Amino acid sequence: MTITDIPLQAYLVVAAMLFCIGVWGLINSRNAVRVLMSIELMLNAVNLNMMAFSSYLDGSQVRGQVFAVFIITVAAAEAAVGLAILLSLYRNRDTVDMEQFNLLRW
Amino acid sequence: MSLALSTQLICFLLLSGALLLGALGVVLLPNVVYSAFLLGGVLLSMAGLYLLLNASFVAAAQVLVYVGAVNVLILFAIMLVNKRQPMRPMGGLLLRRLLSVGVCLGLLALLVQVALTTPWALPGPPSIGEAALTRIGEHFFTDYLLPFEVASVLLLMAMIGAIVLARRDVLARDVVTGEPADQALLERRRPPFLPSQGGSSPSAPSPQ
Amino acid sequence: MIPPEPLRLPFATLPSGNLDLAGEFQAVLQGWGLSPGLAHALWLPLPMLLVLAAAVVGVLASVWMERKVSAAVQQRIGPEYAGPLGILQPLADGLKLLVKEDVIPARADSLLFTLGPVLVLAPVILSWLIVPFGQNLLISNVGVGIFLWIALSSIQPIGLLMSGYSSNNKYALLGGLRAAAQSISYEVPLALAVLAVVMLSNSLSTVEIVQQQNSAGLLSWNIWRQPVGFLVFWICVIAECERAPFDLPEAEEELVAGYQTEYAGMKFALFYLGSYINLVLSGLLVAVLYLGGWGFPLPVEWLASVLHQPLSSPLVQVVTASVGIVTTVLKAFLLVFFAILLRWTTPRVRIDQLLDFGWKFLLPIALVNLLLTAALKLVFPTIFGG
Repeated sequence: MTITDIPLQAYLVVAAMLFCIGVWGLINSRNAVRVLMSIELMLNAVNLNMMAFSSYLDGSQVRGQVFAVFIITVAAAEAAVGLAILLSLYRNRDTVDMEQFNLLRW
Repeated sequence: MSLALSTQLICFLLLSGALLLGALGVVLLPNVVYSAFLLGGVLLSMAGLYLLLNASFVAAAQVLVYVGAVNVLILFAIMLVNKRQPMRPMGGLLLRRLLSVGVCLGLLALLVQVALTTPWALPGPPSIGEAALTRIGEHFFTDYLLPFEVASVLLLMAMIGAIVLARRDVLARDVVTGEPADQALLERRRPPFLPSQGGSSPSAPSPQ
Repeated sequence: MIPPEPLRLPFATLPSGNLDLAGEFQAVLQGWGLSPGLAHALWLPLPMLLVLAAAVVGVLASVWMERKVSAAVQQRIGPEYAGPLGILQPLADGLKLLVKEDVIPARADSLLFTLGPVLVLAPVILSWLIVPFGQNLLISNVGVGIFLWIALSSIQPIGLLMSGYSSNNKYALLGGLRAAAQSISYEVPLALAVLAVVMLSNSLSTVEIVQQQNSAGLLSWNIWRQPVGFLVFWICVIAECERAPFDLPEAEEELVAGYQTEYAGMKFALFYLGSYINLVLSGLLVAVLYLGGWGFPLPVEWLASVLHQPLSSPLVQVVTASVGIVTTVLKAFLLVFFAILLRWTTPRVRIDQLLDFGWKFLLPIALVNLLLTAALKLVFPTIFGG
């Protein structure tokens, strides 16, 4: 069985849509947790691109899968540190509203 | 159309539909707890797409790390900081949203254009299927050894950083008076750094 | 969600002159005038249904065992009126739960409340995909094998959090948080213990893990090469099943019944079923990883000579397959018996003791065990599967 029955572009378009949803959520979310979730969506969109390229264009070396594993690693680290920052922000400011984290604003 | 092909196509359509609808739910739903549970669904359908792409190892890693760790962490964070307070109204919010929709649609058009017009070198070399697992291992310990080691150091740093950031200060002695600290009061909340607007005590999360 | 691509043909994965049930079944169907595609489609759900039925029977047996063993531990008689030795009691229990009223508490989130138990049960059932009962007797010999089980079992905490959160009950919420914390804490040493076994057999596939243990009968079982790993795995598995001494999420004295507090009827039955299926599955996996799986002390050739049949005859094949199944199940139920004894003889640990034990004791031990295994594998490649 081959995987070429579904065109590569289908995966790319799905990934692009997911990435754009993630960008929109990143810009517009006021809840800090939702911002983190939007970042996860964007990372996943990139991962989907990597995986699609890996199996369509690089089926013998699967370097895309290696990169995907790295991205998953970095995403886990990012989520852990991000949520820790969020928790200490919440302890200090008593809110998760992004618009109120404005200490460094002039 | 053979049985395998049609199931593949149906699987792809179902999974990407669930993926995109779930992602929309993640960013649009008013209740952030629903968003977090939907994120789990999105990550699972992503793992399904990886399976369709012949990458069972990365699919399992995706489920293990994203669903099992990241999503659970996010849920924990929501349950810890879930305070039911209405966000302060802001002027021009609708305009902002509409503008960003425009920007995102533009970005989408650009990406789709690139994806559709680039002459990809198809078909590539045949897929190695299940042998990908061994190949990934070979990559990790030969040509990608440095990134692999750097990733392990990154994970260690993230772990220590997260612990330092998230834990409450436990001091054996009071900093000001030098007397042994009252251990019973260690779990009290610190007073807010700056007085915030309208924030009272954190309430227990409730579904409504 | 079963994708077609990585799934190989069920029951016909390894070509070593063994039973080809799938081929025979499809040949019979085609003999009746059905098309090959249709015959294949008819075959596909059968192994899954069979394994599901086996899982349910396993649950009934272990519930009965739990009742009888706990009764013996406490010097009672236990169930005795429902059937001989009370053997129908679990069935009666199940029937009672089925016909009970399905209550959804007021102001609970009914959607998440319903979805929670399903998310707890589904991964456990899916994990049965990789349990081998014989050379070819498993649903799918996927390449990632045992890793699939680890990944699937990490979905469970989400279901636990979901049901704890949606019950609109503080005990349920605390129980759900505790259960999720416990589950993700003990998954790490569990995965490390499995990794050491995988290192010995050079494969993630459960079939190959068992085959590698059957080179010299009893002595080649992994338990002799991985005694520490075995203990770590066993403790983690008990903790993942949320059984005493690690049944913190259901600590009656503190949390009523944890995340199950508000559940009744069929939804509670799903939790109940899930926990016992998980218990049986854990017993099976310990048997597969450390106790030689379907490995029988006597070789197949001897069996064939006793029956005066060639090695490839259907009779020998059937006998070998059933011996394998019986051996695996016996080993698993011995372990289930130990788990039950453990539950009724040990006191519950405290939540901080539980987390300390997981992170500060089991995790370092599992890491050292992994490093030691790698070192031994380099030094003695013949014994440690170089």
